[in-house]
Amino acid sequence: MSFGAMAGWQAWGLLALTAGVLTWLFYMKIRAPRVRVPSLLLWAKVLDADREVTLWERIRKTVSWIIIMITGVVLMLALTRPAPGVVAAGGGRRLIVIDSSWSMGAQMPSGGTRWARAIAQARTLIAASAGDEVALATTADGLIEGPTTDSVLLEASLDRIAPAGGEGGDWPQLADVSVVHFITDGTIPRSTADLVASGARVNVDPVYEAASNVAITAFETHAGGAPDQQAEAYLELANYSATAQPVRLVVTRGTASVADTSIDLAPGEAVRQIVPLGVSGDARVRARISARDNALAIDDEAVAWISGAESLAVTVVSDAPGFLQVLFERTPSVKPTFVATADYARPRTGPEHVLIFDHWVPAEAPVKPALFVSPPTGGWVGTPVTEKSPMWTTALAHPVLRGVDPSTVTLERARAVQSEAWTPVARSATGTPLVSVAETAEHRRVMLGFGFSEAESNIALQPAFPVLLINSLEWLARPSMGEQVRPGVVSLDAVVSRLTSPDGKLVDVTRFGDAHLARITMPGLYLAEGGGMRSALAVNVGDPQVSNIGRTSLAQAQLAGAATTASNAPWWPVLIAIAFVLGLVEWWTWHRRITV
Amino acid sequence: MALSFDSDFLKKLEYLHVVSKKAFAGQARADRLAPKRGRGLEFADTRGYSPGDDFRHIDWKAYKRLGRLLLRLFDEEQDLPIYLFIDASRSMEAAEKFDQARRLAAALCYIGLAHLDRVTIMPFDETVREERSAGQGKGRIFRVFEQLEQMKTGGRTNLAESFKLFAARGRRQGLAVIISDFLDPGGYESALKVLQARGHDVYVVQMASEADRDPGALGDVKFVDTETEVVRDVEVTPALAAAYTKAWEEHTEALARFCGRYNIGYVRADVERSVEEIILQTFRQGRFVA
Repeated sequence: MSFGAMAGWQAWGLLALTAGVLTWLFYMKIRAPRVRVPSLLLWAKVLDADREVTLWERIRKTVSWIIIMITGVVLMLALTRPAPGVVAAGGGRRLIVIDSSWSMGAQMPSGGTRWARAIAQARTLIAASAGDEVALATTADGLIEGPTTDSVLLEASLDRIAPAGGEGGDWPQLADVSVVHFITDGTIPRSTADLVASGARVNVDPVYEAASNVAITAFETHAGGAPDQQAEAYLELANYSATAQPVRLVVTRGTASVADTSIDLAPGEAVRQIVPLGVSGDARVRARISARDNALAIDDEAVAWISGAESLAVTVVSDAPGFLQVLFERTPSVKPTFVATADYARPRTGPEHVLIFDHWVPAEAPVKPALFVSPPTGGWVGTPVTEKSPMWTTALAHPVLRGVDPSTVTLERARAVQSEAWTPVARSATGTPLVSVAETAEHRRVMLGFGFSEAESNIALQPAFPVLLINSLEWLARPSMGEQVRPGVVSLDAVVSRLTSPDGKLVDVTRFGDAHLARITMPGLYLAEGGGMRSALAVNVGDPQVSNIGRTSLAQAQLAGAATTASNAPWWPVLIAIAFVLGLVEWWTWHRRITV
Repeated sequence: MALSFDSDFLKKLEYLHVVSKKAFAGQARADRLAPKRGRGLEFADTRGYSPGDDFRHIDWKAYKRLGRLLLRLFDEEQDLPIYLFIDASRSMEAAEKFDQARRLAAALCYIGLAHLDRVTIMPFDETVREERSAGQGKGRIFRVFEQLEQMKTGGRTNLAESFKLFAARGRRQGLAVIISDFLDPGGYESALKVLQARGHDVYVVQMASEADRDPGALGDVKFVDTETEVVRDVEVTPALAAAYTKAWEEHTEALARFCGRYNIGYVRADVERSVEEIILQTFRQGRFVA
């Protein structure tokens, strides 16, 4: 037995002290109350008579003392928070790592969740490690508390944590750890080789109990390419159960229901569905399933964002829009507004998402995301660079250039600018920037070093033209729109300064060097804003690795120990109950004048 | 304590009279039959005339018919001497025993006065403290109330000494009513015998209370004797408490047995019961009043 509230010698000392004090109090001569009686005549008769003393009368005081002693000692014992089992006394540092993968939220057939059992197991370990330094960590958050000997601090930390993913993350790093307790269900296999290599002894505490589950394991949407083409949702449902069961699927687009159906899934079956979402409607799509044997709730819902469902407002500042006008008339996701360069002299407060400056730049830099096509002069834009018949040879992997085939593009002349503010992502053979991007915390800009007229290039007649333009507009206005991410630490675009969770709360965005990082702990649609752009992040949990909670990587021997571990409930509630019962017995016997 | 009875109860008391197993000679005319013939209204007998007899009682009609002088005799109706002994020792303080004893004494006094009996109230502890006759007639009851209200407890119980002193004064024989808890270390037997030996018709009213029967405390207790202030440390166990209760019951039963053996009237008056209930039920059942 070990004690959670104090060291062993302190606990035993406290118990001995309690026993001593109670004995002293029990036998201490207290001042007897004075009771006036009419006469001692009858008392004298009773006391002077030889009366047979029964066995109970002989032992009743001792029995009373024993009951009081046990009651007091048991109460004190409860305060010391004793724990069953003996943890090898190492005097070293212990690390308790709780597997916080989503599968730990699974409801177990025996009641409670794996997570609740893991927390209970962690409490037992903390209680059993009294006197040792203990650190607490999860696979998602890393080290969250300690190392410390303060069990109250550790227990308070246990109250704050919840499953948050963290599959595949690194082990928390802590020096001089002698024992590592890894509490896991084994659904996501993790190697403990690194821990063992560091010299620590690793104890795996399983909290696995087989459970059935139904999950959405994949969910994506695709906007219709043409104005009259329907958007579609692709989803995958899986039944990780030993029995066949019907699964109800409900898909909504915004607030409108687009599908409500029941699908019979065989044991272990995964089906893929294509759900038509309609020609127009909200960009938010949500799928939800419900089934009889469904232990994990987190993977029952999935969200997606239909990229392109919201039109992009583009203002083209050009005196000869030409090919741009033709292109945008055929692109339903873009709503263009054409403005002559002379009219741009007024400050613009329009609703456009992106500005396109064709062969012209304003005197002052625009505050909104902007695409510059063959900018004419330097000024704030940068030093002009020109080249005749440049050869497009170098291209970096950048979203703006995704799907652009430079081999089909012939450039007659290039006119670009060079500046430290611009990062060329495509160059000519001589190094002239052909496509440059600029990204700061305030804005995003793209510069094309060539025009679209026949005198400048043939790109307007090539498939690369719409691809390059739409890529640029998407990157400028909604670079991450509809991106599917998983919970955990997410890297955001540098311009993102504000991230809003599905429940409307702001998520902290941390700048780490050039990266903006945010920790996402719950699935749903997140809205990222900054630099005049908006992004939507669809965060889903469902995954065959996560949702198949009926399997475990733990060995049978480890699982056998789970039952024992589960029964290692804390003793103090039992002790309190015993003390209560004993107190009740003592009170009852006193009330009945049995042990008075 | 203020003594008073409501008018209904007083009316009920007027219909009662104290029963004496013996007929005693009184001093004054009253409505209780005396053992001798006298000047009452009720014709009793005739006898031959002797010189010196009151010739006003000669039955002239009988002389005319029989030719000899006969004297008419009448029943003498006299008062009954009632001696009310009230235990005023400190043991009577507990549980309002003394208050109840005074209420009972007042009620008995009223019954006696209503029938022109001669009631004498005598509080006692180690001896008879005083002796005060209430007189005759129910109009005196307020003086009796006043006298009882002024009565205080004090001293130890000594029945034998008190009654010996009373007997030594040569009282007329009558009804002796002793209202006491009979917790006398010296015993009550000899004292009662003294009264009876003097020819009194003795009635015992034992005052009792729940507090007397129940020890009232458990555990380590210092019992203090109210009369003697003697302290005794007792660890009262349930068994000891039961033994005490049993001893009290034996004490009561012994008193009742003794009274039965010596033809002494006995009633037990519990403090928890009302005076009306005790007088109208207990005393009537015990043939103490009728």
